[in-house]
Amino acid sequence: MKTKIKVFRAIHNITQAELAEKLGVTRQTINAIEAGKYAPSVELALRMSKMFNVTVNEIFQLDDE
Amino acid sequence: MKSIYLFPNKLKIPALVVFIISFILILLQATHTFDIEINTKVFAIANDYILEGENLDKYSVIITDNIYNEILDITFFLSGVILAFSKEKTEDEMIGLIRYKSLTYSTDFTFSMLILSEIFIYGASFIPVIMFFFYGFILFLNIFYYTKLFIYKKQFSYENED
Repeated sequence: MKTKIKVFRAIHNITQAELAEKLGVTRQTINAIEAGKYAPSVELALRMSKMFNVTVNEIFQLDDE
Repeated sequence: MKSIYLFPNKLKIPALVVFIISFILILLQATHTFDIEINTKVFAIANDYILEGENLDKYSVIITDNIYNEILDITFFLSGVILAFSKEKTEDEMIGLIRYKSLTYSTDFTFSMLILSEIFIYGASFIPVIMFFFYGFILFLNIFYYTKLFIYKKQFSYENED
């Protein structure tokens, strides 16, 4: 799964630690999601999309898309 | 979403201390290096003397017994369970996944070893093997969990710059 969290973080000018704090997860989890090592739950993906004010599809894409 | 119940984070350190102490005392007792006698009257649902040569089965009786090993076992299991199932400072779904994986690995490992023991170990030698797995499961669970947690924290400590 591909992710654009890093891009949206840069747009909103927030660090992994700040994003993690706002979402109530650890920074390591955000790092693992960004590195494509962990696929977040639907709930976390929705919270993330709400935070960045974009759809979930804009943040996460399947590898073959 | 409602998650499963976990013990509070503040219990983690006391549980770790009790777990280590009880584990050392169990090892000392098993190797006959250190033992304490705490004889007291206890209620026994079942009290079986077969292993001691007396074929006397008694049910629902008050007996006098050395409860030192019972106290050790209870503190070991209780602290082990609290240690493995207490919240981290920031508890999230990734840590939940690590805990779930550790539980799976611990179950797989313990029962694989138990199946091998069933095949290769016979007679009275099987009793200490059962005792080993009795304590082993909770020990492996904590070893797997904290090792994986350490690797996870180490692996994703620094922001990836690509």
